[in-house]
Amino acid sequence: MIVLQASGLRVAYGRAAPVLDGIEIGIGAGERVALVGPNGAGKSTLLRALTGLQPASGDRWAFGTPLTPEVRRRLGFVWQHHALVRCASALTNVVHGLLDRRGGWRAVSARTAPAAMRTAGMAALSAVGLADRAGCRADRLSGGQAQRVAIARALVRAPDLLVADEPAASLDPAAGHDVMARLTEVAEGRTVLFTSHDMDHARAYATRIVALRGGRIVLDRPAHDLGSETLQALFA
Amino acid sequence: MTAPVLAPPRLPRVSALSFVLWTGVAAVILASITQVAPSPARLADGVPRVGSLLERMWPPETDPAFLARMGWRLVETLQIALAGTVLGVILSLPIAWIAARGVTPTRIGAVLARGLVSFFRTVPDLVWALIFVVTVGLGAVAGTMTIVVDTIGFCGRFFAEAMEDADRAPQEALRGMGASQAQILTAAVLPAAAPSMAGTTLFAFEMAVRSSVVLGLVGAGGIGQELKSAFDLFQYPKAATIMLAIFAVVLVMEWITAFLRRRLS
Repeated sequence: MIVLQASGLRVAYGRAAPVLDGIEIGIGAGERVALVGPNGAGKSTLLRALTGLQPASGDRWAFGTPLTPEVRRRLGFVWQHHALVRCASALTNVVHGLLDRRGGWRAVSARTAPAAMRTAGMAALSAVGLADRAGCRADRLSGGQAQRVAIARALVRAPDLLVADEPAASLDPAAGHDVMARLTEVAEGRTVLFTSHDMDHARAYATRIVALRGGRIVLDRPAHDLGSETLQALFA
Repeated sequence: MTAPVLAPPRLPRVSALSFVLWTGVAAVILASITQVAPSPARLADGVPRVGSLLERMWPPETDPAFLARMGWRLVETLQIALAGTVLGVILSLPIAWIAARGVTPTRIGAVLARGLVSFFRTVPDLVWALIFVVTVGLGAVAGTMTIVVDTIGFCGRFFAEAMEDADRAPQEALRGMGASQAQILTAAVLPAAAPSMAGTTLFAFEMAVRSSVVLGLVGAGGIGQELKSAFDLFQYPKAATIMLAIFAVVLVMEWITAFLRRRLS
């Protein structure tokens, strides 16, 4: 089953050269896809355009239907630099993952959330190894811990597709690998799409690598087929 | 070999337009000072009168019945400040949300809300008090309504700025996950803006206490009304007691709010 698909995807601002052009891509269920490329290649823009967060021309589908807000509920997002509410607890931030337009008002805080939401939040925190930090304010967590809370916030939605934009970009190498390992571990059995400028992360944690350059896809191959020289050449 | 001696830098040349502008500004300042500022002779005349007034004020009135009545008037003054601030803060919250750039659910509403807040802030509180005295009658209700409007003018602006300063990343994250503007406000904006908004509220209350004291001068209730009566009837010992009481209350309120602000920070 194709989870996410785009055809003729194009993103342009005014008369400037398009940021993305002629993108044709399909992501199958269970794949772990890394979007790689040098800075400015269009990785994050493609990720946002594919998931409906960025206006774009062309066709986009998710789970076989046009990409609507309703369909986007089946997606979980992990953002660069975690994007947590700093003054709120880790558990409150995780419960925020359950906010949506259909209701879920009580998910604005762990204190007001119903027991079922808190239980789901604690389960997601346990999955990323942070159950003991549930009551800790987000601004008192380390960068790696904060990013793991962000993963838990995405996970609590029980998403069919987990989307992560440079999840390890702001972390030191050890914390970066830890976050990537947790991400792939908790996403076991789900489809994952992430961007990275780190080739080691792409080769270690993706099953498929899609490389971008100048807003176009220049390479799309299984990760095990690619040597480090091939990937490094993209950045040369 | 000696270094060449350089000529000292010239003073920058002043353009004719700048010269005319600066001369005009200086003329306006001088004209204002000569027309409305006190002359030394007038100040010299006034000093003995201050002494005479202080003499007539001393000793302040200590009649128990008068003190009891003033005590209740002070309570009424604080009630005006408290009720006006609380109602003003409650009304400021939705107005600030609508006015805050990047957080507002409606851009046209934002322009209108900012205009309303500016209008409330620009008109002085004594003018609002006069308007409410005419519309709802003499007394504390007019004073409370004045403080409400004054508080919206103050808190509406600073609450909106606090909301605008809230970290945008979590807001974008929640929006991406499908949260509504109202949910984003509750989950991400208000928690981030709350410390600043609490400080603003305490400042607003402090200002309200000072304002509520003088609103009585135009008939909007509180101790100011008694102060005006005392001066109008030349009852200077009573005026002295009222002024000392006002001084004590305002000072204590400033201490309390300063203490609370320190605790918040």
